[in-house]
Order: sequence, then structure tokens, then C-alpha cells
Amino acid sequence: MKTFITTIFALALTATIISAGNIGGSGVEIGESVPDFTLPDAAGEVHTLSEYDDKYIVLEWLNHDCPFVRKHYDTGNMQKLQARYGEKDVVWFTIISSAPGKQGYLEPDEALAITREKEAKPFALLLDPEGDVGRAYGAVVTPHMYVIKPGGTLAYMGAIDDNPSANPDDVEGARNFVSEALDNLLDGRSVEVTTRQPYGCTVKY
Amino acid sequence: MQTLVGHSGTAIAQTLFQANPEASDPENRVDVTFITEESRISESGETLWIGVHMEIQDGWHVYWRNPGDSGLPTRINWEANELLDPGDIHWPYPSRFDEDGVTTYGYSDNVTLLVPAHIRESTDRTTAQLLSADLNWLVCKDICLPESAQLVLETDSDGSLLSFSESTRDKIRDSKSRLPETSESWSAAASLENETFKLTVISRDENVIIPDPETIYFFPYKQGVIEHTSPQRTTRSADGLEIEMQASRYLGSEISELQGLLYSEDGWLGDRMLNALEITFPVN
Repeated sequence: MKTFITTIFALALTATIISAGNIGGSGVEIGESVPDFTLPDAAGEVHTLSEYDDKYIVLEWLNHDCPFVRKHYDTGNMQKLQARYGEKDVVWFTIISSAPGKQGYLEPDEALAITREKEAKPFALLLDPEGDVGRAYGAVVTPHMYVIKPGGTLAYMGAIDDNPSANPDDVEGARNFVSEALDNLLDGRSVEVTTRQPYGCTVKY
Repeated sequence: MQTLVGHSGTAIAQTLFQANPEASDPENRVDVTFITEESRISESGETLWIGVHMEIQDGWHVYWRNPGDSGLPTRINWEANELLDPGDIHWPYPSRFDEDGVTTYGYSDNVTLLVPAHIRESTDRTTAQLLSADLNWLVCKDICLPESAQLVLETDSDGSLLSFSESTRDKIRDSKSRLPETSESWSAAASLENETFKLTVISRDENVIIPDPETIYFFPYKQGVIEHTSPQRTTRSADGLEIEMQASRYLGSEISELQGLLYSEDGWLGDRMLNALEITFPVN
């Protein structure tokens, strides 16, 4: 697995490394280095992950038409997390890996408009229409969440919380693993729950 | 189908998803009805099997108890009732769906989920509306939609169940034959090494025929145990089968047992057809 990750690290910027049929077997591992990538955001600015090497980073996979995503946006839960940790200097990247023509795909101007409309507060909304970054991380569903420590090691991956449902009423009372992991890390502690099987709609590669 | 009181397509679901053109269609993808195996409620202390029959539009599917990499199992919230005490859903064995590098477990076309309801001591058996429930399910094709319905199990004035017909009895019996069962004829063990589970099933009954490895598939009861997308490699051993599969990257550090159903097209028993063997593999 180590050589595999190194390979991704070296090639992620230039090539599609992982075939669509192999998502489940690929991806990243807790405590290991994450693959670097470069993607444009909805406003056209280009971001390279390793440029934020000194920060805590969150990756959130997004498809606004997915009921599981709507659960967290219609209740304001996702926006609240983005704002709360943005204030704590956490770099929150929301990523759309839907292919053109598939559910959740947005042109840059549409992505900007819906971000405003939903009052979402990510550091940036990244566009990955080829799906290379999603596949390199093994992102299977929306929302699929990752927390990365300074230095680029993976601290958490998986579900946003412990209540796999599409019902907005279930946000309250759920145990949110992303905020828990970030709170653990920001308090200088180790992350208690590092993985949880993610739930949601499939990423529309 | 007079028993279907709430049409599966409630006002709530439509309001919630107005903005989504795919979901604003008043026609749900799944039509759900309560069906029963018997025409009347039997004696107190016995069990009434209630079927939740789902007719699913072409190309769409709903989910098993473990949905796999995405999706959600169907949920039922029963209203409290003096006569009937419904238990957990009994899930017939599912199909596997491999799409876009994701594997899920569920049902297409139609399925009858089964709920055993304990019949309590109660004098009144002719209540028109015996038992009500809210049902929620997720139905997916290339996209996913949450749908819901409110259903009521009804009787007429002489206590006959309106949800009964010969065809509903057949559907419930057919679904019962698809439920997983444990068997004394097989023993099981598992090991976990190098992120690979090796499951061993051994025949303890000389009357059973060891099924063809080609048709074997292990459906785990829980998510996050195996990589659902990874191929399962089944081989014949002297007195049984060995199945290898990749452990999930969401597997926690401790696992003492692996529970699920082992499907075989050939069946597991010598005297009757049982496709779905429920097995708990102790993990060494």
C-alpha cells in the first residue's frame, strides 16, 4: 500500500491512475500521507493541497441533489461546521466529482450561485469533473468526509455522523465524527474515531 | 389493494423535494402495501406474519438490511397497538448490484419484507384500523430518492383481514422461503490476516451436497466489515468451502465475529431448498 500511495502522490496531477471499477480497493489510509492534487475552484482560482500543508484540512464530497447531502445543507448543519472551523483556520475544501451530465455536476458559475444560495462557507468549492481526485481518495458517496493533519497525514475518513439516514430530523442528536475529530486535534489530542463506514448517494463519476 | 390507505407519495416527501425535478413527480417509484398470510387474526400468543410488499419500478432498487457501499435499509415505525406487537423486519436474501465501482445489496422488481407480529391478549379484534405504520425507504437508480408511505392494516366488521388473498399468502410463503436460516449441518470459522478474511464452512452432515463454489456469495449483515466491491474467491476443500474476501478499510481494530448470510444457488440442505444460510463466523 505504501508504494501505491507514493505512486498516486507522484502521478495524481497528471494522470488518471485508478479505474472506475476499482474505487473500493483504492483510496487512502489513516496515518498515511494523502495524495496531493491541484484543482480549480468555482471562481477559477487554482488550489494545490500541499500549499496548505501547515493547516488542518477537511475534504467534503458534494452533490446538492443527493438527499443525504440535502439533509445536512437544508438543516444548515454543513454550513455551520464550515463556518465554525473556518474561524479556527481549518481549510475546508468541498469537492464535486460528478461527471458532466451526471447528477450533481455544476458549471463554475452554477457552483458559485448555489454556494451563495445555500450560504455555504467552505474555504473553496473545488471542481473535479474528471473524478481523478475523488477516485484517488476512494470517495464513494456524498457526503464522504476526510480530515487531514498538518503535514498531510490522514486523521479521519468516512461518514459525517453516526446516523445513516436521509431524514433532516436525524441531524440533531447524531454524533458528528468530523467535528469530533477536529475538536480532538485542535485540543492537541488524538482522534478517537478515525474511520466510520460512510453513508450517502454514490459519487456520480 | 384496498388496504393501502396512504398512497406512497406523501405531501411531506413532495414538499421536501420540490426543488428537485426528479423528485417532484407525484408518482413514487415504489408502491407499498401490507399483505398477510392469513385471513383472520389467530389466537393470542401466536404470530401474525405481516408482509410489506414493495413493487419497484424498472431500473430502480431498494435496500437490504446492509445496503452495502451506499443506500439505506427500509425503515418502519409502528404505532403502539393493543392487539399486535410487531417485531423487527425479517429480510429475504438480497441481490447484489455492481455499478460505477460501488457494490450495494437490495431488491429490484419486487420484494416482500416480513414482520412477525405477536398477538396479545385483547378482546377487540374487529377494530377497523388494526395497526398503522410510517414507512420510509430510499430508492435508487443512477440517482437516489427518499420515499415514504403511511399504511394501515385493516379488518372488516366480522374481523377478516382486508390485506389477505390467496396471492398475498403465496407472496409471503415465497418470501419466507428466501429468509436466511441457521443449520446444524454446517460449521464455520474465520481468520483475518493481511486485511483478508478467510471463511471456512465445513459440512457436518453426510447427506448434504457441497454446493458449487461458483454460485457462493457472502452478504455481511453489517457495513464496514468487508470491501463490498472486492471479489470473493471461493474454493472447494475436502469437506466444505473456503471463501476469501478483502477486509473493509472501515473495519475497526477489534472484530470477534463475522455474521451474515452465505448464498448458494444450489442450496445448503439435503432435504429441502435453503439458499441463504445464516452463519456467524468466529474470527481468530
